[in-house]
Amino acid sequence: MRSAKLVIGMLVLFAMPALAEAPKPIPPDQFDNLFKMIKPQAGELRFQEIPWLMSVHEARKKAAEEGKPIAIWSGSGGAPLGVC
Amino acid sequence: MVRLVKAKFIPLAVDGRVINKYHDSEVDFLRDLKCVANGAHGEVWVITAGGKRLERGEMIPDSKTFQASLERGLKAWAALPQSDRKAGAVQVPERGAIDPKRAVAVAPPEGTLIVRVHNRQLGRNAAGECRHTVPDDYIPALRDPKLGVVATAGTTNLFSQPANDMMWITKAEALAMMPTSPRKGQTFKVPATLCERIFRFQLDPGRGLSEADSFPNATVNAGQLQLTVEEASGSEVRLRLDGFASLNNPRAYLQQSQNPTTKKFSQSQIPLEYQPRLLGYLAYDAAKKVLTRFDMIALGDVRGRPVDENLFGERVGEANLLGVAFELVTDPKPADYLSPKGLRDGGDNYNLPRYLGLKK
Repeated sequence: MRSAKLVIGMLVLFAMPALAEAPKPIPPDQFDNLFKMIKPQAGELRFQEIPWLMSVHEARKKAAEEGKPIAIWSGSGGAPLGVC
Repeated sequence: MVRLVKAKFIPLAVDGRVINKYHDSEVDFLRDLKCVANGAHGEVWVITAGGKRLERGEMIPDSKTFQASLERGLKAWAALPQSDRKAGAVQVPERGAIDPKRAVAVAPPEGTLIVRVHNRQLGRNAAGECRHTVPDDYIPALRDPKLGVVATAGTTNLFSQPANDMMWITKAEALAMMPTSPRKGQTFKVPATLCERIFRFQLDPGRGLSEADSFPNATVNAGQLQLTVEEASGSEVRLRLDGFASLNNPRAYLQQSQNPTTKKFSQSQIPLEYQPRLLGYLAYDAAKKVLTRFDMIALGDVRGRPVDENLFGERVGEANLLGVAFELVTDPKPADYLSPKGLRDGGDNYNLPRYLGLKK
Protein backbone atom coordinates (compact mmCIF):
# COMPACT_ATOMS: atom_id res chain seq x y z
CA MET A 1 0.00 0.00 0.00
CA ARG A 2 2.79 2.39 0.97
CA SER A 3 4.69 1.61 -2.20
CA ALA A 4 1.51 2.17 -4.25
CA LYS A 5 1.00 5.56 -2.60
CA LEU A 6 4.63 6.40 -3.29
CA VAL A 7 4.26 5.47 -6.94
CA ILE A 8 1.05 7.49 -7.28
CA GLY A 9 2.63 10.44 -5.55
CA MET A 10 5.62 10.36 -7.86
CA LEU A 11 3.38 10.05 -10.92
CA VAL A 12 1.44 13.15 -9.81
CA LEU A 13 4.66 15.00 -9.11
CA PHE A 14 6.16 14.28 -12.52
CA ALA A 15 2.87 14.98 -14.33
CA MET A 16 2.71 18.54 -13.04
CA PRO A 17 4.68 21.28 -14.79
CA ALA A 18 7.89 21.96 -12.89
CA LEU A 19 8.02 25.16 -10.84
CA ALA A 20 11.39 26.57 -9.76
CA GLU A 21 9.90 28.31 -6.73
CA ALA A 22 6.14 28.23 -6.67
CA PRO A 23 5.04 31.79 -7.51
CA LYS A 24 2.57 33.27 -5.08
CA PRO A 25 -1.04 33.70 -6.12
CA ILE A 26 -2.00 37.23 -7.10
CA PRO A 27 -4.03 38.73 -4.23
CA PRO A 28 -7.51 39.56 -5.56
CA ASP A 29 -7.44 42.95 -3.85
CA GLN A 30 -4.38 43.83 -5.95
CA PHE A 31 -6.02 42.97 -9.27
CA ASP A 32 -7.39 46.39 -10.19
CA ASN A 33 -4.15 48.16 -9.29
CA LEU A 34 -1.98 45.71 -11.22
CA PHE A 35 -4.33 45.69 -14.21
CA LYS A 36 -4.07 49.48 -14.45
CA MET A 37 -0.32 49.44 -13.86
CA ILE A 38 0.36 47.07 -16.75
CA LYS A 39 -1.88 48.86 -19.26
CA PRO A 40 -0.68 52.05 -21.00
CA GLN A 41 -0.51 55.09 -18.75
CA ALA A 42 -1.48 58.60 -19.76
CA GLY A 43 1.10 59.84 -22.23
CA GLU A 44 2.26 56.37 -23.26
CA LEU A 45 1.61 54.81 -26.65
CA ARG A 46 0.24 58.14 -27.88
CA PHE A 47 0.50 56.73 -31.35
CA GLN A 48 -2.62 54.76 -30.55
CA GLU A 49 -4.66 57.89 -29.91
CA ILE A 50 -4.73 58.27 -33.70
CA PRO A 51 -7.85 56.65 -35.26
CA TRP A 52 -5.92 54.32 -37.56
CA LEU A 53 -7.70 52.54 -40.35
CA MET A 54 -6.33 49.23 -41.55
CA SER A 55 -8.08 48.87 -44.87
CA VAL A 56 -6.61 50.61 -47.88
CA HIS A 57 -10.05 50.71 -49.46
CA GLU A 58 -11.71 52.26 -46.42
CA ALA A 59 -8.95 54.83 -46.14
CA ARG A 60 -9.26 55.78 -49.81
CA LYS A 61 -13.04 56.10 -49.52
CA LYS A 62 -12.83 58.28 -46.42
CA ALA A 63 -10.07 60.42 -47.92
CA ALA A 64 -12.09 60.94 -51.09
CA GLU A 65 -15.27 61.79 -49.13
CA GLU A 66 -13.56 64.23 -46.80
CA GLY A 67 -11.09 65.75 -49.22
CA LYS A 68 -7.98 64.80 -47.20
CA PRO A 69 -4.65 63.15 -47.96
CA ILE A 70 -3.79 59.76 -46.50
CA ALA A 71 -0.85 59.27 -44.14
CA ILE A 72 0.10 55.64 -44.67
CA TRP A 73 2.42 54.08 -42.12
CA SER A 74 3.74 50.63 -42.93
CA GLY A 75 5.80 48.24 -40.86
CA SER A 76 6.33 44.54 -40.60
CA GLY A 77 3.90 42.14 -38.99
CA GLY A 78 1.71 43.99 -36.55
CA ALA A 79 3.73 47.15 -36.76
CA PRO A 80 3.08 49.98 -36.57
CA LEU A 81 0.01 49.29 -34.42
CA GLY A 82 1.27 46.22 -32.64
CA VAL A 83 4.32 44.06 -32.32
CA CYS A 84 6.48 42.81 -35.17
CA MET B 1 2.44 65.11 -34.48
CA VAL B 2 -0.55 63.19 -33.11
CA ARG B 3 -2.75 66.28 -33.35
CA LEU B 4 -1.56 67.01 -36.88
CA VAL B 5 -2.30 63.49 -38.14
CA LYS B 6 -5.71 63.40 -36.49
CA ALA B 7 -6.73 66.76 -37.90
CA LYS B 8 -5.30 66.80 -41.39
CA PHE B 9 -4.94 63.24 -42.63
CA ILE B 10 -6.75 59.97 -42.97
CA PRO B 11 -4.38 57.70 -41.05
CA LEU B 12 -3.77 54.22 -42.45
CA ALA B 13 -1.59 51.52 -40.86
CA VAL B 14 -0.58 48.47 -42.87
CA ASP B 15 1.70 45.47 -42.69
CA GLY B 16 3.92 46.40 -45.60
CA ARG B 17 5.01 42.83 -46.15
CA VAL B 18 1.66 41.98 -47.70
CA ILE B 19 3.02 43.29 -50.99
CA ASN B 20 5.55 40.44 -51.04
CA LYS B 21 3.11 37.66 -51.78
CA TYR B 22 -0.54 38.71 -51.93
CA HIS B 23 -2.60 40.06 -54.80
CA ASP B 24 -5.87 41.95 -54.59
CA SER B 25 -6.94 45.50 -55.30
CA GLU B 26 -5.68 46.85 -51.97
CA VAL B 27 -2.28 45.15 -52.12
CA ASP B 28 -1.81 45.98 -55.78
CA PHE B 29 -2.56 49.64 -55.05
CA LEU B 30 0.20 49.71 -52.42
CA ARG B 31 2.63 47.86 -54.65
CA ASP B 32 2.02 50.10 -57.64
CA LEU B 33 2.37 53.25 -55.56
CA LYS B 34 5.63 52.05 -53.97
CA CYS B 35 4.57 53.56 -50.66
CA VAL B 36 5.19 50.76 -48.20
CA ALA B 37 8.22 49.12 -46.64
CA ASN B 38 8.13 45.44 -47.47
CA GLY B 39 10.45 44.43 -44.67
CA ALA B 40 11.15 45.07 -41.03
CA HIS B 41 11.86 48.78 -41.29
CA GLY B 42 8.96 51.22 -41.15
CA GLU B 43 7.96 53.74 -43.74
CA VAL B 44 5.53 56.65 -43.95
CA TRP B 45 4.16 58.36 -47.05
CA VAL B 46 1.58 61.00 -47.76
CA ILE B 47 -0.59 59.75 -50.63
CA THR B 48 -3.91 60.56 -52.23
CA ALA B 49 -7.08 58.52 -52.57
CA GLY B 50 -6.65 58.67 -56.32
CA GLY B 51 -3.21 57.10 -56.21
CA LYS B 52 -0.59 59.86 -56.15
CA ARG B 53 2.45 59.69 -53.90
CA LEU B 54 3.29 63.11 -52.46
CA GLU B 55 5.91 63.12 -49.71
CA ARG B 56 7.91 60.62 -47.69
CA GLY B 57 7.76 60.90 -43.91
CA GLU B 58 11.19 61.39 -42.36
CA MET B 59 11.14 59.00 -39.46
CA ILE B 60 13.83 60.66 -37.40
CA PRO B 61 13.30 60.19 -33.64
CA ASP B 62 12.75 63.84 -32.98
CA SER B 63 9.21 65.09 -33.42
CA LYS B 64 10.16 68.19 -35.42
CA THR B 65 11.73 66.48 -38.43
CA PHE B 66 8.93 64.04 -38.86
CA GLN B 67 6.27 66.71 -38.40
CA ALA B 68 8.01 68.93 -40.93
CA SER B 69 7.91 66.15 -43.51
CA LEU B 70 4.18 65.66 -42.95
CA GLU B 71 3.68 69.39 -43.37
CA ARG B 72 5.53 69.24 -46.67
CA GLY B 73 3.11 66.53 -47.65
CA LEU B 74 0.23 68.85 -46.83
CA LYS B 75 1.74 71.58 -49.00
CA ALA B 76 2.09 69.13 -51.88
CA TRP B 77 -1.54 68.15 -51.34
CA ALA B 78 -2.66 71.80 -51.40
CA ALA B 79 -0.82 72.30 -54.69
CA LEU B 80 -2.85 69.58 -56.43
CA PRO B 81 -5.74 70.54 -58.70
CA GLN B 82 -9.19 70.50 -57.12
CA SER B 83 -10.08 67.47 -59.21
CA ASP B 84 -7.55 65.47 -57.17
CA ARG B 85 -8.44 66.69 -53.71
CA LYS B 86 -11.88 68.27 -53.47
CA ALA B 87 -14.27 66.31 -51.20
CA GLY B 88 -16.26 63.96 -53.39
CA ALA B 89 -14.24 64.58 -56.53
CA VAL B 90 -12.33 61.30 -56.58
CA GLN B 91 -14.21 58.08 -57.29
CA VAL B 92 -12.69 55.09 -55.53
CA PRO B 93 -13.40 51.80 -57.32
CA GLU B 94 -15.01 48.87 -55.52
CA ARG B 95 -12.56 46.80 -53.50
CA GLY B 96 -13.36 43.39 -54.91
CA ALA B 97 -12.29 40.14 -53.30
CA ILE B 98 -9.47 40.01 -50.75
CA ASP B 99 -6.70 37.51 -51.50
CA PRO B 100 -7.96 34.40 -49.65
CA LYS B 101 -4.50 33.79 -48.19
CA ARG B 102 -4.69 37.02 -46.20
CA ALA B 103 -8.45 37.15 -45.58
CA VAL B 104 -8.13 35.94 -42.00
CA ALA B 105 -5.81 38.85 -41.21
CA VAL B 106 -8.45 41.27 -42.52
CA ALA B 107 -11.28 39.91 -40.38
CA PRO B 108 -11.39 37.09 -37.82
CA PRO B 109 -13.85 34.19 -38.08
CA GLU B 110 -17.45 35.04 -37.31
CA GLY B 111 -18.24 35.31 -33.63
CA THR B 112 -14.60 35.79 -32.60
CA LEU B 113 -14.02 37.90 -29.53
CA ILE B 114 -11.13 40.34 -29.61
CA VAL B 115 -8.92 40.80 -26.54
CA ARG B 116 -6.30 43.48 -26.28
CA VAL B 117 -3.07 42.31 -24.61
CA HIS B 118 -0.35 44.44 -23.06
CA ASN B 119 3.03 43.09 -21.93
CA ARG B 120 4.99 45.27 -19.55
CA GLN B 121 8.21 44.74 -17.65
CA LEU B 122 7.81 45.66 -13.97
CA GLY B 123 10.08 46.15 -11.01
CA ARG B 124 9.66 45.94 -7.25
CA ASN B 125 10.01 48.74 -4.76
CA ALA B 126 11.73 48.44 -1.40
CA ALA B 127 8.56 47.02 0.12
CA GLY B 128 8.38 44.35 -2.58
CA GLU B 129 5.42 45.95 -4.33
CA CYS B 130 5.19 46.17 -8.12
CA ARG B 131 6.22 49.38 -9.84
CA HIS B 132 7.11 50.58 -13.32
CA THR B 133 10.69 50.07 -14.40
CA VAL B 134 13.35 52.77 -14.24
CA PRO B 135 16.63 53.04 -16.18
CA ASP B 136 18.67 51.44 -13.39
CA ASP B 137 16.63 48.25 -13.81
CA TYR B 138 18.38 47.63 -17.13
CA ILE B 139 21.89 46.36 -17.77
CA PRO B 140 24.63 49.00 -18.13
CA ALA B 141 25.00 48.38 -21.86
CA LEU B 142 21.47 49.69 -22.38
CA ARG B 143 22.04 52.81 -20.28
CA ASP B 144 25.52 53.99 -21.12
CA PRO B 145 26.20 55.14 -24.70
CA LYS B 146 29.97 54.94 -23.98
CA LEU B 147 29.72 51.14 -24.08
CA GLY B 148 28.74 51.40 -27.73
CA VAL B 149 25.47 49.47 -27.65
CA VAL B 150 22.94 52.32 -27.48
CA ALA B 151 23.06 55.77 -28.98
CA THR B 152 21.42 57.59 -26.09
CA ALA B 153 20.91 57.11 -22.39
CA GLY B 154 17.15 57.33 -22.88
CA THR B 155 16.88 54.03 -24.77
CA THR B 156 15.53 52.26 -21.71
CA ASN B 157 12.39 54.42 -21.94
CA LEU B 158 11.35 52.24 -24.86
CA PHE B 159 11.51 49.09 -22.76
CA SER B 160 9.59 50.56 -19.85
CA GLN B 161 6.46 51.04 -21.95
CA PRO B 162 4.00 48.26 -22.66
CA ALA B 163 3.97 46.33 -25.92
CA ASN B 164 0.55 45.61 -27.33
CA ASP B 165 -0.75 42.56 -29.07
CA MET B 166 -4.17 41.07 -29.68
CA MET B 167 -5.74 37.72 -28.83
CA TRP B 168 -8.76 36.04 -30.34
CA ILE B 169 -11.28 33.88 -28.47
CA THR B 170 -13.41 31.74 -30.75
CA LYS B 171 -17.17 31.63 -30.51
CA ALA B 172 -16.98 27.99 -29.33
CA GLU B 173 -14.44 28.81 -26.62
CA ALA B 174 -16.55 31.72 -25.39
CA LEU B 175 -19.63 29.50 -25.21
CA ALA B 176 -17.66 26.90 -23.28
CA MET B 177 -16.90 29.52 -20.64
CA MET B 178 -20.60 30.41 -20.19
CA PRO B 179 -22.28 27.45 -18.50
CA THR B 180 -26.02 27.25 -19.13
CA SER B 181 -26.94 26.50 -15.51
CA PRO B 182 -24.18 28.09 -13.45
CA ARG B 183 -23.99 27.47 -9.71
CA LYS B 184 -22.04 29.62 -7.31
CA GLY B 185 -18.81 27.83 -6.51
CA GLN B 186 -18.92 25.67 -9.64
CA THR B 187 -15.47 25.17 -11.18
CA PHE B 188 -14.43 24.14 -14.65
CA LYS B 189 -11.42 24.44 -16.91
CA VAL B 190 -10.71 27.12 -19.46
CA PRO B 191 -10.96 25.47 -22.91
CA ALA B 192 -7.74 23.66 -23.77
CA THR B 193 -7.26 25.44 -27.09
CA LEU B 194 -7.51 28.83 -25.39
CA CYS B 195 -5.08 27.75 -22.66
CA GLU B 196 -2.56 26.70 -25.26
CA ARG B 197 -2.99 29.96 -27.16
CA ILE B 198 -2.35 31.97 -24.01
CA PHE B 199 0.68 29.91 -22.98
CA ARG B 200 2.24 29.71 -26.43
CA PHE B 201 1.62 33.17 -27.83
CA GLN B 202 0.68 35.65 -25.16
CA LEU B 203 2.95 35.08 -22.14
CA ASP B 204 6.07 36.07 -24.02
CA PRO B 205 8.91 38.09 -22.43
CA GLY B 206 10.10 39.03 -25.90
CA ARG B 207 6.83 40.53 -27.07
CA GLY B 208 7.56 43.97 -28.51
CA LEU B 209 11.29 43.30 -28.40
CA SER B 210 11.69 40.56 -30.98
CA GLU B 211 9.88 38.96 -33.89
CA ALA B 212 10.45 35.46 -32.60
CA ASP B 213 8.09 33.51 -30.34
CA SER B 214 9.80 32.65 -27.07
CA PHE B 215 7.83 29.50 -26.27
CA PRO B 216 6.67 28.19 -29.66
CA ASN B 217 6.30 24.63 -28.41
CA ALA B 218 4.28 25.38 -25.28
CA THR B 219 1.18 23.23 -24.96
CA VAL B 220 -1.86 23.15 -22.75
CA ASN B 221 0.22 21.10 -20.29
CA ALA B 222 2.43 24.12 -19.58
CA GLY B 223 0.00 25.25 -16.89
CA GLN B 224 -3.53 25.27 -15.62
CA LEU B 225 -6.36 27.76 -15.96
CA GLN B 226 -9.58 27.26 -14.03
CA LEU B 227 -12.83 29.18 -13.80
CA THR B 228 -15.00 29.49 -10.68
CA VAL B 229 -18.52 30.87 -10.69
CA GLU B 230 -18.56 33.71 -8.18
CA GLU B 231 -22.07 35.01 -8.74
CA ALA B 232 -24.96 33.45 -10.62
CA SER B 233 -28.08 34.94 -9.13
CA GLY B 234 -28.83 37.75 -11.56
CA SER B 235 -28.83 38.27 -15.29
CA GLU B 236 -25.07 38.66 -15.18
CA VAL B 237 -22.94 35.69 -14.24
CA ARG B 238 -19.50 36.46 -12.84
CA LEU B 239 -16.52 34.16 -12.93
CA ARG B 240 -13.03 34.23 -11.48
CA LEU B 241 -10.09 32.77 -13.39
CA ASP B 242 -7.13 31.36 -11.51
CA GLY B 243 -4.09 29.67 -12.86
CA PHE B 244 -0.41 29.43 -13.48
CA ALA B 245 2.02 28.64 -16.26
CA SER B 246 5.54 27.31 -16.32
CA LEU B 247 7.18 28.21 -19.59
CA ASN B 248 10.75 27.56 -20.57
CA ASN B 249 12.99 27.51 -23.61
CA PRO B 250 16.52 26.15 -23.07
CA ARG B 251 17.82 28.04 -26.15
CA ALA B 252 20.62 25.48 -26.40
CA TYR B 253 21.70 26.90 -29.76
CA LEU B 254 22.98 29.97 -27.93
CA GLN B 255 25.54 27.88 -26.09
CA GLN B 256 27.41 27.53 -29.39
CA SER B 257 26.70 30.79 -31.11
CA GLN B 258 25.82 34.26 -29.91
CA ASN B 259 26.09 37.70 -31.36
CA PRO B 260 29.53 38.93 -30.07
CA THR B 261 28.12 42.16 -28.63
CA THR B 262 25.34 40.30 -26.87
CA LYS B 263 27.77 37.75 -25.51
CA LYS B 264 30.05 40.49 -24.23
CA PHE B 265 27.46 42.52 -22.37
CA SER B 266 24.67 40.11 -21.44
CA GLN B 267 24.41 39.29 -17.76
CA SER B 268 21.57 36.78 -17.96
CA GLN B 269 21.34 33.02 -18.14
CA ILE B 270 20.81 31.50 -21.59
CA PRO B 271 17.67 29.45 -20.87
CA LEU B 272 14.52 31.57 -20.83
CA GLU B 273 11.88 30.91 -18.17
CA TYR B 274 8.63 32.59 -17.25
CA GLN B 275 6.47 31.30 -14.42
CA PRO B 276 3.51 33.57 -13.90
CA ARG B 277 0.38 33.26 -11.84
CA LEU B 278 -2.80 34.34 -13.58
CA LEU B 279 -5.90 35.97 -12.15
CA GLY B 280 -8.88 37.17 -14.10
CA TYR B 281 -12.53 38.17 -13.94
CA LEU B 282 -15.12 37.27 -16.52
CA ALA B 283 -18.78 38.13 -16.84
CA TYR B 284 -21.53 37.15 -19.22
CA ASP B 285 -25.14 37.95 -19.95
CA ALA B 286 -26.90 34.72 -19.07
CA ALA B 287 -29.88 35.36 -21.31
CA LYS B 288 -27.98 36.52 -24.39
CA LYS B 289 -25.01 34.20 -23.83
CA VAL B 290 -22.62 37.04 -24.52
CA LEU B 291 -19.31 37.47 -22.77
CA THR B 292 -19.22 41.03 -21.46
CA ARG B 293 -15.96 40.96 -19.52
CA PHE B 294 -12.64 39.15 -19.89
CA ASP B 295 -10.06 40.93 -17.77
CA MET B 296 -7.00 38.95 -16.81
CA ILE B 297 -3.45 39.51 -15.65
CA ALA B 298 -0.38 37.31 -15.61
CA LEU B 299 2.40 38.22 -13.22
CA GLY B 300 5.63 36.44 -12.54
CA ASP B 301 9.38 36.34 -12.86
CA VAL B 302 11.37 35.99 -16.04
CA ARG B 303 14.79 34.41 -15.96
CA GLY B 304 17.06 34.91 -18.96
CA ARG B 305 17.26 37.87 -21.30
CA PRO B 306 14.04 38.48 -23.23
CA VAL B 307 15.59 38.28 -26.70
CA ASP B 308 17.97 35.55 -27.76
CA GLU B 309 19.88 37.49 -30.40
CA ASN B 310 20.32 40.89 -28.73
CA LEU B 311 20.16 42.81 -25.48
CA PHE B 312 16.75 44.47 -25.91
CA GLY B 313 14.99 44.79 -22.59
CA GLU B 314 17.62 42.91 -20.62
CA ARG B 315 17.40 43.58 -16.92
CA VAL B 316 19.79 43.57 -14.04
CA GLY B 317 19.41 40.59 -11.74
CA GLU B 318 18.52 36.95 -12.06
CA ALA B 319 14.74 37.24 -11.97
CA ASN B 320 12.58 40.13 -13.11
CA LEU B 321 8.86 40.74 -13.15
CA LEU B 322 6.77 40.67 -16.30
CA GLY B 323 3.09 41.58 -16.21
CA VAL B 324 0.62 40.83 -19.00
CA ALA B 325 -2.86 42.36 -19.04
CA PHE B 326 -5.75 41.06 -21.15
CA GLU B 327 -8.91 43.08 -21.76
CA LEU B 328 -11.96 42.24 -23.85
CA VAL B 329 -12.68 44.80 -26.57
CA THR B 330 -16.43 45.25 -26.42
CA ASP B 331 -16.75 47.85 -29.19
CA PRO B 332 -13.98 47.15 -31.70
CA LYS B 333 -12.64 50.03 -33.75
CA PRO B 334 -10.83 49.37 -37.06
CA ALA B 335 -7.44 49.24 -35.33
CA ASP B 336 -8.71 46.53 -32.99
CA TYR B 337 -8.87 44.15 -35.93
CA LEU B 338 -5.08 44.04 -35.95
CA SER B 339 -4.22 40.39 -36.30
CA PRO B 340 -2.61 38.71 -33.28
CA LYS B 341 1.12 38.09 -33.40
CA GLY B 342 0.49 34.38 -33.00
CA LEU B 343 -1.55 34.32 -36.21
CA ARG B 344 1.57 35.22 -38.17
CA ASP B 345 3.56 32.05 -38.69
CA GLY B 346 7.05 33.08 -39.71
CA GLY B 347 6.37 36.66 -40.74
CA ASP B 348 3.64 37.25 -43.29
CA ASN B 349 2.09 33.78 -43.46
CA TYR B 350 -1.25 33.76 -41.71
CA ASN B 351 -1.82 30.38 -40.11
CA LEU B 352 -5.24 30.25 -38.48
CA PRO B 353 -5.30 26.51 -37.68
CA ARG B 354 -1.97 26.81 -35.85
CA TYR B 355 -3.13 29.89 -33.96
CA LEU B 356 -6.43 28.36 -32.93
CA GLY B 357 -4.76 25.07 -32.02
CA LEU B 358 -6.66 23.11 -34.62
CA LYS B 359 -3.62 21.65 -36.36
CA LYS B 360 -1.50 19.13 -34.45
